[in-house]
Amino acid sequence: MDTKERIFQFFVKQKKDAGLDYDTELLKSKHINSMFALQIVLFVEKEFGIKLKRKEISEANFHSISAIAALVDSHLGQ
Amino acid sequence: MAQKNGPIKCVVWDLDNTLWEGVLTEGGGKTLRPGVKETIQALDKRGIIHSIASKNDYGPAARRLEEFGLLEYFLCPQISWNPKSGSIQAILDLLNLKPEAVAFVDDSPFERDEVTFAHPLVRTYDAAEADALAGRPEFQVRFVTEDAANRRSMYRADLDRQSAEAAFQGGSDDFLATLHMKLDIAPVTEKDLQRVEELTVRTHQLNSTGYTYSYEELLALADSPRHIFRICGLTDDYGSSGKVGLLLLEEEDEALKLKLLIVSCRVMTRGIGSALLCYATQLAARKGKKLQAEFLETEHNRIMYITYKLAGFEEIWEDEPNLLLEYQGEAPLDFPPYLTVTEA
Repeated sequence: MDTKERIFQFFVKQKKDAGLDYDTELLKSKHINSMFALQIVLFVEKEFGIKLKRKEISEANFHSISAIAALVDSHLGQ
Repeated sequence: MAQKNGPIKCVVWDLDNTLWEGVLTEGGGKTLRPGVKETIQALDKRGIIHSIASKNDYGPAARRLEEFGLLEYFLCPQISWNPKSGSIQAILDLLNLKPEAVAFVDDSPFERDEVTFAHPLVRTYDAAEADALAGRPEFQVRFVTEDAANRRSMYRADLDRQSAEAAFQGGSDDFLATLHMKLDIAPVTEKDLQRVEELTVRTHQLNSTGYTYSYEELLALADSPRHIFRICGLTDDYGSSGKVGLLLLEEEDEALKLKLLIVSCRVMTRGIGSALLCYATQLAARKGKKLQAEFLETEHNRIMYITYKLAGFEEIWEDEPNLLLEYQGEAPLDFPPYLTVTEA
């Protein structure tokens, strides 16, 4: 399973959202609550064994599944 | 560092030879140990909640508690034959508590050690100390606020909400919409200050700066023409959650500066922090000013940092652990659709 698909599966499991795709705007439409925001960050760090720098936690890096995957891949050197 | 000298929010009780005399399965449990009931009631009045970690069969133990008139005091009691460290973990998860806010009372040194091994920050007490707990400094509260007196029923409503959410087949936002939440935002007045102080002392995870203010400083801020100081209450179909959030803004020439944003941990999953941020962006837009936020990194408040960043704030200045964030969006944020906001 590639990075995007693994992240997609997390969202499907958490939000049970049928209409979600890789480029769905996650932040503007969804009003992510604090707990879910933390869960996304912790999931990414644990699932891919990376530690995000403070500055990498930004709207730009988390606005879609594709964006999160690009951030993860930059850590994994892919 | 997390310290073992902060206030206790929850007491977890053993039953056999701690709450009552003897062992229930061996015919004991006919009388309560002296002072225990009075201690439970006194702490409950202060807003300190109670739970149970006991190795017993649930049915008979719960019936006996009912006969003593005590069952209603306990939230999510863990009565089973599992290790008590696991029972404590379940209580921490269900009530959304940090281990350093929990006390565990048990007559058995083995059980206390087993809990300490898994949860070193949980404070343990021998049953012999039970009747004197209410006099210890870590069980004191400065004021008994209206929110404190109702805390047990508010936690119980939280647990009902969680069960409803677990049973709900849909996305989280859809679930939140079924609650019909109403957020009431109002200026802080003198009668709110005790609750304001309580929130600043009790809240660590959802606290943007960890600043604490004395009663006198808070009173001055509530009257200050340079400051916008708001407190918000939350109600929904399950009842009132009480006063759950605080927002303090300082008005500067060019910017509105968020000095303090605090949200009670009990409502962490309900979007209240982001709703208050939405409100702040709207206030700034009305005044034609930028919105900035002071942020002080602590051991516990990473979740608040993430909330800011994912809402569209970016660092414009930093001198760790102090940060200044600024909202980058072109338009103010709209309130979440599942929340009805009224402004007094």
